[in-house]
Amino acid sequence: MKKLIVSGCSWTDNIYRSSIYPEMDCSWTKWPVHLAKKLDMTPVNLGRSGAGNEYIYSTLHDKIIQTKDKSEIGLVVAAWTESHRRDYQNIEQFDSTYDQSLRNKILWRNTWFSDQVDSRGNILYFMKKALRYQLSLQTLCERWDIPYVQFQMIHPYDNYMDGLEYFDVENNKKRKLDYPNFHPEKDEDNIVRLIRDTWPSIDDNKYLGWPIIYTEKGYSVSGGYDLSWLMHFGSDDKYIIDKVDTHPNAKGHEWIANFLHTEIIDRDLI
Amino acid sequence: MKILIAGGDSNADKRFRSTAYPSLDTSWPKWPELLSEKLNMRTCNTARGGAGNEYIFSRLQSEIMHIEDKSQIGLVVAGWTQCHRQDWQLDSGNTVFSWASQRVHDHGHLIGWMRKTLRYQLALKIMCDAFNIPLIQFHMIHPYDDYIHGLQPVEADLMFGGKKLDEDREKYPGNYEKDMNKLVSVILAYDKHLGQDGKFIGWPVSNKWQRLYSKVDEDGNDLGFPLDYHLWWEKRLEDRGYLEYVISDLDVHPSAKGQLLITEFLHGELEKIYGNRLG
Repeated sequence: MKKLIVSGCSWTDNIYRSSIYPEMDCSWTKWPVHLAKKLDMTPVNLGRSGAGNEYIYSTLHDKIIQTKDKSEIGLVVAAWTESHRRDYQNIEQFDSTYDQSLRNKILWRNTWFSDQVDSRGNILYFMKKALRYQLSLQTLCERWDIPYVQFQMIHPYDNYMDGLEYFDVENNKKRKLDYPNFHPEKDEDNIVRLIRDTWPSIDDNKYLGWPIIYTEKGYSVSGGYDLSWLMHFGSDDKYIIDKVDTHPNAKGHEWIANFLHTEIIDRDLI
Repeated sequence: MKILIAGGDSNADKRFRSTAYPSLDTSWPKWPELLSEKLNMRTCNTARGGAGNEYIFSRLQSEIMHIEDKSQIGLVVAGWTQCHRQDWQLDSGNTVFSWASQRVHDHGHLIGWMRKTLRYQLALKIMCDAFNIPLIQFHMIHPYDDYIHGLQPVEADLMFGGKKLDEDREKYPGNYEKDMNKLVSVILAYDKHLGQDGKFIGWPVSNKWQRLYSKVDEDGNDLGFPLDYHLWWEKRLEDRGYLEYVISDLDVHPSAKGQLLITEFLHGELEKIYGNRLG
Protein backbone atom coordinates (compact mmCIF):
# COMPACT_ATOMS: atom_id res chain seq x y z
CA MET A 1 0.00 0.00 0.00
CA LYS A 2 1.40 3.43 -0.95
CA LYS A 3 1.98 6.19 1.56
CA LEU A 4 -0.03 9.37 1.94
CA ILE A 5 2.46 11.83 3.47
CA VAL A 6 0.81 14.83 5.07
CA SER A 7 2.05 17.80 7.08
CA GLY A 8 0.27 20.77 8.58
CA CYS A 9 -0.64 22.58 11.79
CA SER A 10 -3.26 21.90 14.48
CA TRP A 11 -5.93 21.39 11.82
CA THR A 12 -4.00 18.29 10.75
CA ASP A 13 -2.39 17.16 14.03
CA ASN A 14 -3.26 13.56 14.83
CA ILE A 15 -2.99 14.23 18.57
CA TYR A 16 -4.66 17.64 18.60
CA ARG A 17 -5.70 18.94 22.03
CA SER A 18 -7.87 22.03 22.46
CA SER A 19 -6.04 24.74 24.36
CA ILE A 20 -9.37 26.33 25.21
CA TYR A 21 -10.93 23.10 26.48
CA PRO A 22 -7.95 21.10 27.79
CA GLU A 23 -10.19 18.38 29.22
CA MET A 24 -12.03 17.76 25.96
CA ASP A 25 -11.56 14.40 24.26
CA CYS A 26 -10.40 15.35 20.77
CA SER A 27 -9.41 11.88 19.70
CA TRP A 28 -11.74 11.85 16.71
CA THR A 29 -10.33 10.67 13.40
CA LYS A 30 -8.48 13.45 11.58
CA TRP A 31 -8.73 14.20 7.87
CA PRO A 32 -5.45 12.49 6.82
CA VAL A 33 -6.79 9.12 8.04
CA HIS A 34 -10.15 9.63 6.26
CA LEU A 35 -8.38 10.70 3.07
CA ALA A 36 -5.92 7.80 3.18
CA LYS A 37 -8.84 5.39 3.49
CA LYS A 38 -10.55 6.91 0.48
CA LEU A 39 -7.32 6.71 -1.54
CA ASP A 40 -6.41 3.26 -0.27
CA MET A 41 -3.12 4.49 1.15
CA THR A 42 -1.29 4.34 4.48
CA PRO A 43 -1.33 7.73 6.26
CA VAL A 44 1.92 9.29 7.47
CA ASN A 45 0.73 12.32 9.39
CA LEU A 46 3.43 14.82 10.33
CA GLY A 47 0.99 17.59 11.35
CA ARG A 48 1.75 19.36 14.60
CA SER A 49 -0.21 21.94 16.57
CA GLY A 50 1.25 25.44 16.48
CA ALA A 51 3.54 24.59 13.58
CA GLY A 52 4.42 27.11 10.89
CA ASN A 53 5.32 26.70 7.25
CA GLU A 54 9.02 26.02 7.85
CA TYR A 55 8.01 23.00 9.91
CA ILE A 56 5.56 21.84 7.23
CA TYR A 57 8.11 22.14 4.43
CA SER A 58 10.97 20.66 6.44
CA THR A 59 9.08 17.60 7.68
CA LEU A 60 7.78 16.82 4.18
CA HIS A 61 11.24 17.38 2.70
CA ASP A 62 12.89 15.12 5.28
CA LYS A 63 10.29 12.38 4.90
CA ILE A 64 10.59 12.41 1.09
CA ILE A 65 14.40 12.34 1.26
CA GLN A 66 14.37 9.52 3.82
CA THR A 67 12.05 7.37 1.67
CA LYS A 68 14.50 5.29 -0.33
CA ASP A 69 12.00 3.99 -2.89
CA LYS A 70 10.11 7.11 -3.94
CA SER A 71 7.51 5.01 -5.78
CA GLU A 72 6.23 4.01 -2.33
CA ILE A 73 4.87 7.56 -1.98
CA GLY A 74 1.34 7.73 -3.33
CA LEU A 75 0.66 11.39 -2.55
CA VAL A 76 2.20 14.29 -0.63
CA VAL A 77 -0.19 16.82 0.90
CA ALA A 78 0.96 20.16 2.31
CA ALA A 79 -1.69 21.91 4.39
CA TRP A 80 -0.01 25.31 4.76
CA THR A 81 -0.75 27.60 7.67
CA GLU A 82 -0.32 31.21 8.82
CA SER A 83 2.86 32.71 7.42
CA HIS A 84 3.80 34.67 10.54
CA ARG A 85 4.63 31.65 12.70
CA ARG A 86 8.25 30.80 13.48
CA ASP A 87 9.66 27.26 13.68
CA TYR A 88 13.05 26.05 14.76
CA GLN A 89 14.72 22.82 15.74
CA ASN A 90 16.32 22.44 19.09
CA ILE A 91 18.61 19.82 20.52
CA GLU A 92 17.25 16.31 20.41
CA GLN A 93 16.31 15.79 24.01
CA PHE A 94 14.80 12.54 25.06
CA ASP A 95 14.13 11.17 28.47
CA SER A 96 15.90 7.82 28.52
CA THR A 97 13.43 6.51 31.09
CA TYR A 98 10.68 6.84 28.50
CA ASP A 99 9.31 3.82 26.68
CA GLN A 100 12.04 3.12 24.09
CA SER A 101 9.57 1.66 21.60
CA LEU A 102 8.02 5.12 21.29
CA ARG A 103 11.40 6.83 21.07
CA ASN A 104 11.63 7.36 17.32
CA LYS A 105 7.97 8.28 17.03
CA ILE A 106 8.30 11.01 19.59
CA LEU A 107 11.82 12.20 18.83
CA TRP A 108 11.05 14.23 15.71
CA ARG A 109 8.17 16.00 17.43
CA ASN A 110 10.34 16.92 20.37
CA THR A 111 13.05 18.56 18.28
CA TRP A 112 10.67 21.15 16.81
CA PHE A 113 9.45 24.31 18.51
CA SER A 114 7.17 27.05 17.23
CA ASP A 115 6.25 30.61 18.16
CA GLN A 116 2.98 32.25 17.19
CA VAL A 117 4.76 35.22 15.61
CA ASP A 118 8.26 35.49 14.18
CA SER A 119 9.92 38.40 15.97
CA ARG A 120 12.17 39.11 12.98
CA GLY A 121 10.86 40.57 9.74
CA ASN A 122 7.47 41.80 8.58
CA ILE A 123 4.39 40.31 6.91
CA LEU A 124 5.91 40.66 3.44
CA TYR A 125 8.94 38.67 4.49
CA PHE A 126 6.74 36.03 6.10
CA MET A 127 4.76 35.70 2.86
CA LYS A 128 7.88 35.58 0.70
CA LYS A 129 9.31 32.85 2.91
CA ALA A 130 6.06 30.88 2.70
CA LEU A 131 5.96 31.14 -1.09
CA ARG A 132 9.60 30.08 -1.33
CA TYR A 133 8.80 26.94 0.65
CA GLN A 134 5.76 26.22 -1.52
CA LEU A 135 7.82 26.60 -4.67
CA SER A 136 10.58 24.42 -3.24
CA LEU A 137 8.10 21.68 -2.32
CA GLN A 138 6.70 21.78 -5.86
CA THR A 139 10.19 21.37 -7.36
CA LEU A 140 11.10 18.64 -4.88
CA CYS A 141 8.02 16.54 -5.75
CA GLU A 142 8.44 17.12 -9.48
CA ARG A 143 12.07 15.98 -9.20
CA TRP A 144 10.95 12.44 -8.30
CA ASP A 145 7.56 12.49 -10.07
CA ILE A 146 5.79 12.30 -6.74
CA PRO A 147 2.07 13.18 -6.88
CA TYR A 148 1.38 16.12 -4.60
CA VAL A 149 -1.21 18.69 -3.71
CA GLN A 150 -0.86 21.84 -1.65
CA PHE A 151 -3.30 24.34 -0.22
CA GLN A 152 -3.65 26.90 2.55
CA MET A 153 -5.48 25.23 5.38
CA ILE A 154 -5.51 28.57 7.20
CA HIS A 155 -5.19 31.88 5.37
CA PRO A 156 -1.53 32.99 5.36
CA TYR A 157 -1.97 36.65 6.31
CA ASP A 158 -5.63 37.52 7.01
CA ASN A 159 -5.55 36.87 10.75
CA TYR A 160 -2.29 38.76 11.17
CA MET A 161 -3.52 41.79 9.26
CA ASP A 162 -6.90 41.81 10.97
CA GLY A 163 -5.16 41.76 14.35
CA LEU A 164 -4.24 38.43 15.90
CA GLU A 165 -6.77 37.02 18.32
CA TYR A 166 -5.82 35.59 21.66
CA PHE A 167 -7.91 34.14 24.44
CA ASP A 168 -7.90 36.19 27.62
CA VAL A 169 -8.29 33.41 30.18
CA GLU A 170 -8.80 35.81 33.13
CA ASN A 171 -11.75 37.55 31.53
CA ASN A 172 -12.86 34.51 29.57
CA LYS A 173 -13.06 36.25 26.21
CA LYS A 174 -11.23 36.68 22.94
CA ARG A 175 -9.13 39.80 22.40
CA LYS A 176 -7.29 41.24 19.42
CA LEU A 177 -3.76 42.57 19.00
CA ASP A 178 -3.19 45.61 16.78
CA TYR A 179 -1.59 45.09 13.38
CA PRO A 180 2.02 46.21 13.92
CA ASN A 181 2.30 48.55 10.98
CA PHE A 182 0.83 51.92 10.06
CA HIS A 183 -0.10 51.04 6.49
CA PRO A 184 -2.00 47.74 6.32
CA GLU A 185 -3.59 48.65 2.95
CA LYS A 186 -0.19 49.28 1.40
CA ASP A 187 1.14 46.02 2.84
CA GLU A 188 -1.82 44.09 1.50
CA ASP A 189 -1.31 45.60 -1.96
CA ASN A 190 2.33 44.51 -1.82
CA ILE A 191 1.32 40.98 -0.80
CA VAL A 192 -1.13 40.77 -3.70
CA ARG A 193 1.62 41.98 -6.04
CA LEU A 194 3.99 39.38 -4.59
CA ILE A 195 1.50 36.55 -5.12
CA ARG A 196 0.81 37.69 -8.69
CA ASP A 197 4.54 37.83 -9.26
CA THR A 198 4.92 34.22 -8.07
CA TRP A 199 1.93 32.99 -10.09
CA PRO A 200 3.80 31.98 -13.27
CA SER A 201 6.06 29.67 -11.26
CA ILE A 202 3.29 27.87 -9.36
CA ASP A 203 1.49 24.83 -10.77
CA ASP A 204 -2.01 26.07 -9.93
CA ASN A 205 -3.67 22.77 -10.78
CA LYS A 206 -1.84 21.26 -7.82
CA TYR A 207 -2.44 24.22 -5.53
CA LEU A 208 -6.05 24.22 -4.34
CA GLY A 209 -7.27 27.74 -3.73
CA TRP A 210 -4.45 29.41 -5.63
CA PRO A 211 -3.90 32.39 -5.83
CA ILE A 212 -5.12 32.59 -2.21
CA ILE A 213 -6.39 36.18 -2.74
CA TYR A 214 -10.20 36.30 -2.33
CA THR A 215 -10.73 38.88 -5.08
CA GLU A 216 -9.11 36.49 -7.58
CA LYS A 217 -11.22 33.53 -6.42
CA GLY A 218 -8.45 32.18 -4.24
CA TYR A 219 -9.21 30.68 -0.87
CA SER A 220 -7.94 28.88 2.18
CA VAL A 221 -9.81 25.77 3.25
CA SER A 222 -10.62 27.18 6.67
CA GLY A 223 -11.88 30.38 5.08
CA GLY A 224 -14.14 28.72 2.52
CA TYR A 225 -14.22 29.98 -1.04
CA ASP A 226 -14.90 33.57 -0.18
CA LEU A 227 -16.56 33.44 3.22
CA SER A 228 -15.44 32.77 6.74
CA TRP A 229 -15.31 29.25 8.09
CA LEU A 230 -18.37 29.93 10.27
CA MET A 231 -20.42 31.36 7.41
CA HIS A 232 -19.32 28.66 5.03
CA PHE A 233 -20.30 25.88 7.35
CA GLY A 234 -23.29 27.59 8.90
CA SER A 235 -23.41 29.06 12.34
CA ASP A 236 -24.71 25.95 14.05
CA ASP A 237 -21.22 24.77 14.92
CA LYS A 238 -21.80 21.68 12.85
CA TYR A 239 -18.22 21.33 11.65
CA ILE A 240 -16.25 23.13 14.34
CA ILE A 241 -15.72 22.61 18.05
CA ASP A 242 -17.56 25.87 18.79
CA LYS A 243 -17.33 29.62 18.13
CA VAL A 244 -14.44 30.00 20.58
CA ASP A 245 -12.36 27.05 19.40
CA THR A 246 -12.97 26.98 15.66
CA HIS A 247 -10.83 23.92 14.97
CA PRO A 248 -12.67 21.22 13.02
CA ASN A 249 -14.60 18.65 15.04
CA ALA A 250 -15.13 15.06 13.93
CA LYS A 251 -17.58 16.12 11.20
CA GLY A 252 -15.31 18.96 10.12
CA HIS A 253 -12.45 16.52 9.53
CA GLU A 254 -14.71 14.32 7.45
CA TRP A 255 -15.74 17.39 5.43
CA ILE A 256 -12.11 18.35 4.78
CA ALA A 257 -11.26 14.81 3.65
CA ASN A 258 -14.27 14.75 1.30
CA PHE A 259 -13.38 18.14 -0.10
CA LEU A 260 -9.77 17.12 -0.73
CA HIS A 261 -10.74 13.77 -2.22
CA THR A 262 -13.15 15.42 -4.68
CA GLU A 263 -10.53 17.97 -5.74
CA ILE A 264 -7.79 15.34 -6.08
CA ILE A 265 -9.98 13.19 -8.33
CA ASP A 266 -11.43 16.10 -10.34
CA ARG A 267 -7.99 17.53 -10.97
CA ASP A 268 -6.55 14.13 -11.81
CA LEU A 269 -3.73 14.52 -9.28
CA ILE A 270 -2.96 10.83 -8.70
CA MET B 1 25.78 36.82 -23.26
CA LYS B 2 24.62 34.32 -20.63
CA ILE B 3 24.23 35.19 -16.97
CA LEU B 4 26.31 33.88 -14.06
CA ILE B 5 24.23 34.08 -10.88
CA ALA B 6 26.39 34.01 -7.76
CA GLY B 7 25.36 33.85 -4.11
CA GLY B 8 27.42 34.20 -0.97
CA ASP B 9 28.43 36.26 2.04
CA SER B 10 31.12 38.93 2.56
CA ASN B 11 33.70 36.78 0.78
CA ALA B 12 31.84 37.38 -2.50
CA ASP B 13 30.20 40.75 -1.78
CA LYS B 14 31.21 43.28 -4.43
CA ARG B 15 30.52 46.09 -1.93
CA PHE B 16 32.62 44.46 0.82
CA ARG B 17 34.09 46.85 3.38
CA SER B 18 36.47 45.75 6.11
CA THR B 19 35.13 46.39 9.62
CA ALA B 20 38.66 46.10 11.01
CA TYR B 21 40.04 48.65 8.52
CA PRO B 22 37.09 50.92 7.63
CA SER B 23 39.19 53.26 5.51
CA LEU B 24 40.82 50.48 3.48
CA ASP B 25 40.00 50.57 -0.22
CA THR B 26 38.50 47.12 -0.80
CA SER B 27 37.18 47.75 -4.27
CA TRP B 28 39.24 44.97 -5.86
CA PRO B 29 37.21 42.65 -8.10
CA LYS B 30 35.54 39.75 -6.33
CA TRP B 31 35.39 36.18 -7.59
CA PRO B 32 31.85 36.36 -9.09
CA GLU B 33 32.91 39.19 -11.39
CA LEU B 34 36.30 37.61 -12.13
CA LEU B 35 34.77 34.23 -12.91
CA SER B 36 32.10 35.76 -15.17
CA GLU B 37 34.82 37.51 -17.13
CA LYS B 38 36.70 34.24 -17.60
CA LEU B 39 33.54 32.51 -18.76
CA ASN B 40 32.41 35.42 -20.90
CA MET B 41 29.19 35.80 -18.94
CA ARG B 42 27.29 38.69 -17.40
CA THR B 43 27.37 38.77 -13.58
CA CYS B 44 24.42 38.78 -11.26
CA ASN B 45 26.18 38.88 -7.90
CA THR B 46 23.67 38.59 -5.03
CA ALA B 47 26.29 38.17 -2.26
CA ARG B 48 25.99 40.29 0.87
CA GLY B 49 28.32 40.79 3.86
CA GLY B 50 27.05 39.09 7.03
CA ALA B 51 24.47 37.07 5.14
CA GLY B 52 23.43 33.59 6.16
CA ASN B 53 22.29 30.64 4.10
CA GLU B 54 18.61 31.59 4.02
CA TYR B 55 19.62 34.82 2.31
CA ILE B 56 21.91 33.00 -0.13
CA PHE B 57 19.22 30.51 -1.13
CA SER B 58 16.37 33.03 -1.27
CA ARG B 59 18.19 35.48 -3.50
CA LEU B 60 19.35 32.71 -5.85
CA GLN B 61 15.86 31.21 -6.06
CA SER B 62 14.36 34.62 -6.69
CA GLU B 63 16.82 35.45 -9.48
CA ILE B 64 16.40 32.06 -11.14
CA MET B 65 12.59 32.17 -11.02
CA HIS B 66 12.45 35.71 -12.39
CA ILE B 67 14.40 34.89 -15.54
CA GLU B 68 11.70 33.60 -17.83
CA ASP B 69 14.01 32.01 -20.39
CA LYS B 70 16.14 29.77 -18.17
CA SER B 71 18.52 28.99 -21.03
CA GLN B 72 19.83 32.53 -20.49
CA ILE B 73 21.37 31.36 -17.21
CA GLY B 74 24.87 30.11 -17.95
CA LEU B 75 25.83 29.11 -14.41
CA VAL B 76 24.69 29.32 -10.80
CA VAL B 77 27.39 29.39 -8.10
CA ALA B 78 26.55 29.20 -4.39
CA GLY B 79 29.30 29.99 -1.88
CA TRP B 80 27.58 28.89 1.34
CA THR B 81 28.45 30.27 4.74
CA GLN B 82 28.12 29.52 8.47
CA CYS B 83 24.85 27.78 9.31
CA HIS B 84 24.33 29.68 12.57
CA ARG B 85 23.62 33.03 10.88
CA GLN B 86 20.05 34.29 10.78
CA ASP B 87 18.46 36.31 7.97
CA TRP B 88 15.18 38.13 7.60
CA GLN B 89 13.59 40.84 5.46
CA LEU B 90 12.20 44.23 6.46
CA ASP B 91 11.38 45.85 3.17
CA SER B 92 8.97 45.12 0.37
CA GLY B 93 11.55 44.48 -2.35
CA ASN B 94 13.84 41.52 -2.71
CA THR B 95 17.08 43.37 -3.22
CA VAL B 96 20.20 43.13 -1.11
CA PHE B 97 19.00 46.14 0.93
CA SER B 98 15.70 44.57 2.01
CA TRP B 99 17.59 42.01 4.10
CA ALA B 100 18.98 42.02 7.61
CA SER B 101 21.18 39.40 9.28
CA GLN B 102 22.69 38.55 12.63
CA ARG B 103 25.59 36.35 13.60
CA VAL B 104 23.64 33.72 15.55
CA HIS B 105 19.99 32.64 15.30
CA ASP B 106 17.69 33.81 18.10
CA HIS B 107 16.33 30.31 18.50
CA GLY B 108 17.25 26.70 17.92
CA HIS B 109 20.37 24.59 18.00
CA LEU B 110 23.40 24.05 15.79
CA ILE B 111 22.16 20.69 14.50
CA GLY B 112 18.82 22.21 13.48
CA TRP B 113 20.62 25.08 11.71
CA MET B 114 22.81 22.59 9.82
CA ARG B 115 19.73 20.64 8.75
CA LYS B 116 18.17 23.87 7.49
CA THR B 117 21.30 24.66 5.46
CA LEU B 118 21.31 21.18 3.90
CA ARG B 119 17.65 21.56 2.91
CA TYR B 120 18.53 24.82 1.12
CA GLN B 121 21.47 23.19 -0.64
CA LEU B 122 19.35 20.31 -1.89
CA ALA B 123 16.50 22.63 -2.87
CA LEU B 124 18.94 24.69 -4.95
CA LYS B 125 20.35 21.61 -6.65
CA ILE B 126 16.90 20.24 -7.46
CA MET B 127 15.78 23.61 -8.84
CA CYS B 128 18.85 23.89 -11.09
CA ASP B 129 18.51 20.28 -12.24
CA ALA B 130 14.83 20.86 -13.03
CA PHE B 131 15.66 23.79 -15.32
CA ASN B 132 18.82 22.23 -16.69
CA ILE B 133 20.96 25.04 -15.26
CA PRO B 134 24.67 24.33 -14.62
CA LEU B 135 25.46 24.63 -10.92
CA ILE B 136 28.38 24.42 -8.55
CA GLN B 137 28.16 24.90 -4.83
CA PHE B 138 30.68 24.89 -2.00
CA HIS B 139 31.16 26.19 1.52
CA MET B 140 33.24 29.34 1.31
CA ILE B 141 33.72 29.06 5.07
CA HIS B 142 32.99 26.13 7.34
CA PRO B 143 29.30 25.77 8.30
CA TYR B 144 29.76 25.04 12.01
CA ASP B 145 33.43 24.81 12.98
CA ASP B 146 33.71 28.33 14.39
CA TYR B 147 30.54 27.93 16.40
CA ILE B 148 31.26 24.52 17.86
CA HIS B 149 34.77 25.55 18.90
CA GLY B 150 33.42 28.73 20.50
CA LEU B 151 32.78 31.85 18.44
CA GLN B 152 35.71 34.24 18.27
CA PRO B 153 35.27 38.01 18.58
CA VAL B 154 34.47 39.73 15.26
CA GLU B 155 37.10 41.81 13.43
CA ALA B 156 35.93 45.18 14.79
CA ASP B 157 35.98 43.88 18.39
CA LEU B 158 39.53 42.66 17.90
CA MET B 159 40.70 45.88 16.32
CA PHE B 160 38.82 48.46 18.36
CA GLY B 161 37.27 46.63 21.31
CA GLY B 162 40.46 45.26 22.84
CA LYS B 163 39.28 41.67 22.62
CA LYS B 164 41.65 38.75 22.15
CA LEU B 165 41.14 36.06 19.52
CA ASP B 166 41.32 33.02 21.78
CA GLU B 167 40.84 34.41 25.28
CA ASP B 168 37.52 36.01 24.38
CA ARG B 169 36.02 33.05 22.59
CA GLU B 170 32.45 32.27 23.53
CA LYS B 171 31.70 28.90 25.06
CA TYR B 172 29.85 26.36 22.90
CA PRO B 173 26.48 25.88 24.60
CA GLY B 174 26.01 22.23 23.61
CA ASN B 175 27.68 18.86 24.05
CA TYR B 176 30.77 19.11 21.83
CA GLU B 177 31.53 15.42 21.43
CA LYS B 178 27.96 14.28 20.92
CA ASP B 179 27.01 17.15 18.60
CA MET B 180 30.14 16.76 16.49
CA ASN B 181 29.25 13.14 15.76
CA LYS B 182 25.62 14.04 15.11
CA LEU B 183 26.61 16.79 12.64
CA VAL B 184 28.66 14.34 10.62
CA SER B 185 25.76 11.89 10.40
CA VAL B 186 23.31 14.68 9.51
CA ILE B 187 25.60 15.81 6.66
CA LEU B 188 26.37 12.31 5.41
CA ALA B 189 22.65 11.57 5.20
CA TYR B 190 22.68 13.94 2.20
CA ASP B 191 25.64 12.24 0.54
CA LYS B 192 23.45 10.45 -2.02
CA HIS B 193 21.78 13.70 -3.03
CA LEU B 194 24.58 16.26 -2.83
CA GLY B 195 27.83 14.33 -2.92
CA GLN B 196 27.60 12.05 -5.92
CA ASP B 197 27.80 14.25 -9.01
CA GLY B 198 30.92 16.24 -8.00
CA LYS B 199 29.08 19.56 -8.26
CA PHE B 200 29.41 20.25 -4.54
CA ILE B 201 33.08 21.14 -4.27
CA GLY B 202 34.59 20.05 -0.96
CA TRP B 203 31.68 17.78 -0.08
CA PRO B 204 31.15 16.65 2.65
CA VAL B 205 32.19 19.56 4.86
CA SER B 206 32.60 17.83 8.19
CA ASN B 207 35.35 17.30 10.71
CA LYS B 208 34.40 14.42 12.89
CA TRP B 209 37.85 13.68 14.14
CA GLN B 210 38.33 17.00 15.88
CA ARG B 211 41.30 18.06 13.82
CA LEU B 212 40.48 21.41 12.34
CA TYR B 213 38.99 20.85 8.88
CA SER B 214 40.53 17.42 8.59
CA LYS B 215 40.11 16.11 5.10
CA VAL B 216 40.71 12.43 5.72
CA ASP B 217 39.27 10.28 8.46
CA GLU B 218 40.94 7.33 10.20
CA ASP B 219 39.93 5.02 7.34
CA GLY B 220 41.20 7.39 4.71
CA ASN B 221 37.74 8.61 3.64
CA ASP B 222 37.58 12.12 2.29
CA LEU B 223 35.83 14.43 4.69
CA GLY B 224 35.70 17.45 2.45
CA PHE B 225 36.68 21.06 3.02
CA PRO B 226 35.53 24.66 2.98
CA LEU B 227 37.17 26.70 0.25
CA ASP B 228 39.11 29.13 2.47
CA TYR B 229 40.77 26.21 4.24
CA HIS B 230 41.54 24.36 1.04
CA LEU B 231 43.02 27.37 -0.74
CA TRP B 232 45.20 28.98 1.92
CA TRP B 233 44.84 27.86 5.53
CA GLU B 234 45.68 24.22 4.98
CA LYS B 235 48.89 24.66 2.99
CA ARG B 236 50.12 27.97 4.22
CA LEU B 237 49.41 28.09 7.95
CA GLU B 238 52.87 27.30 9.32
CA ASP B 239 54.94 29.70 7.23
CA ARG B 240 52.17 32.32 7.44
CA GLY B 241 51.97 32.20 3.63
CA TYR B 242 48.21 32.64 3.93
CA LEU B 243 48.80 36.36 4.56
CA GLU B 244 49.30 36.73 0.84
CA TYR B 245 45.67 35.82 0.24
CA VAL B 246 43.84 37.50 3.11
CA ILE B 247 43.69 41.12 4.24
CA SER B 248 45.53 40.47 7.51
CA ASP B 249 45.54 38.31 10.65
CA LEU B 250 42.75 40.50 11.99
CA ASP B 251 40.62 40.49 8.87
CA VAL B 252 40.84 37.17 7.08
CA HIS B 253 38.60 38.07 4.16
CA PRO B 254 40.26 37.39 0.81
CA SER B 255 42.52 40.10 -0.53
CA ALA B 256 42.72 40.92 -4.24
CA LYS B 257 45.13 37.99 -4.62
CA GLY B 258 42.83 35.74 -2.61
CA GLN B 259 39.91 36.58 -4.91
CA LEU B 260 42.07 35.67 -7.91
CA LEU B 261 43.03 32.36 -6.30
CA ILE B 262 39.36 31.50 -5.65
CA THR B 263 38.54 32.34 -9.26
CA GLU B 264 41.35 30.20 -10.68
CA PHE B 265 40.34 27.28 -8.49
CA LEU B 266 36.63 27.49 -9.37
CA HIS B 267 37.46 27.84 -13.04
CA GLY B 268 39.57 24.70 -12.88
CA GLU B 269 36.82 22.78 -11.10
CA LEU B 270 34.25 23.97 -13.65
CA GLU B 271 36.42 22.67 -16.47
CA LYS B 272 36.60 19.28 -14.76
CA ILE B 273 32.83 19.15 -14.27
CA TYR B 274 31.49 20.79 -17.43
CA GLY B 275 34.44 20.83 -19.87
CA ASN B 276 33.57 23.27 -22.65
CA ARG B 277 29.83 23.01 -22.13
CA LEU B 278 29.49 26.34 -20.31
CA GLY B 279 28.74 29.62 -21.98
